[in-house]
Amino acid sequence: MAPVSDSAVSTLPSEARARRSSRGRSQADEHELRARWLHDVVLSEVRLALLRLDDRGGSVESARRELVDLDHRLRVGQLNETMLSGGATIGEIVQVYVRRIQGLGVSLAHVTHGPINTIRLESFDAANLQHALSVMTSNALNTGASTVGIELTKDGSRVTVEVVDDAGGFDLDAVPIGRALSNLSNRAEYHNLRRHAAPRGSAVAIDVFIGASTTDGTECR
Amino acid sequence: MSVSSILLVDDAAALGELFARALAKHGGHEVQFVASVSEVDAALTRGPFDLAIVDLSFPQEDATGIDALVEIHREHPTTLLAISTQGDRWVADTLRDAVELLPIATVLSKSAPLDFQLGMIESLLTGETPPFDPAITVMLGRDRHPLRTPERFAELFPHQGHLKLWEALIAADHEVTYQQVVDHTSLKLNTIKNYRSQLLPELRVHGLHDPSLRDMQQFAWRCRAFLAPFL
Repeated sequence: MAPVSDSAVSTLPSEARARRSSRGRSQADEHELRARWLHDVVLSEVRLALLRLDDRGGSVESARRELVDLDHRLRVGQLNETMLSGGATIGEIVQVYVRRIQGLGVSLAHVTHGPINTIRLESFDAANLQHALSVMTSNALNTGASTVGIELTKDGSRVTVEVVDDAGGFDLDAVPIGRALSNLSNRAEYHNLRRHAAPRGSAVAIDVFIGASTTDGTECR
Repeated sequence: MSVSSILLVDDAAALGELFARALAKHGGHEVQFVASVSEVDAALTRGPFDLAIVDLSFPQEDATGIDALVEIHREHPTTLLAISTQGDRWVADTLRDAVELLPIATVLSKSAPLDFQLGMIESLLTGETPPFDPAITVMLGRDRHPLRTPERFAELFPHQGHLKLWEALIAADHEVTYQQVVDHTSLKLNTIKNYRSQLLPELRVHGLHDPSLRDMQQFAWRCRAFLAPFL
């Protein structure tokens, strides 16, 4: 096929020229957006990681840890964008925290699999579930767990998240007010924050109430 | 630890070569690395391999990891099959099809620590069956329909006209339209719509519930290797 010359383009009818011009603009806009995104999100996160490495000094292990953190921040950013684009499945949300736990070298005892992971949550509900998982897995990791499990069940409009760990447990009533875990119970979407003993450790659970905007299994279509 | 032969197929060439070196260094394995599905055929002449580790996404090619896995399995049925993937939403359907239709021994998550991945591969090579990486299982979701097998794809061709429909879906560009199928098959629009309706019950076996024509096209592209014997 012969290449389209400038003169050939100029002979297009005005409507077609306008369409082409519009398409060119939208492509340019898209590239501009991607460039901005790379600058604002990815490169600034890389810069942050480099500064933290400089600050901490550079063993291979600290560099690895920094990269695991960077990976997690970017995946959370990716998930946020996914959720804003119309929601996310429970599996997509859980996956980010499973990767985080693995990346830190912590063993995974159990992660719920099966159809619950294909349930798609609208943006608001997805963000609430993500927040609960973020707080509860961070709590387990920060208390020194070497094994963590994530259990999810759904009953009507209630999704129960349970994070089990072997860190030895703690007194839920002694968690200072204002800490992320205590803040979970202060929001209307979350109910019944509780802790109980579990085989080889303890479990923290909470019920996340989701709206009527949930659809089951549509991702498989 | 005994030396095994491994075929690694991944379009991320730099990552693939590093992973191949890690496999060779860690287990002393002989690793054949190829960066495209189109190279698998030639690589198999240097087989058989004890294990094939295959990525799923090959955006630069008109192929998926399923095409490579089917080719490897057809040529050397005793080769253990493993998938290595990021396991994101973009490959979730391909992953489900591969796991449901092929004897996949395990699925590795590319984001898991290297030691963890190497450990899974060593267990596999010593006759164990390590569970799929948990970061991947959360993306699988549904249970496989009990009737879903490669042979079952024959039921998607009850009539010669359905064959034309599948051929048209595979041949069409992205975002297939009914008009494109009409042009490709010379069938009438209503005939094509009837053919689609007739296939709906059977498509449920493959996890598609009232799919659009575009959904059917994506399914045909992903599962082309299983449709091919009937085309």
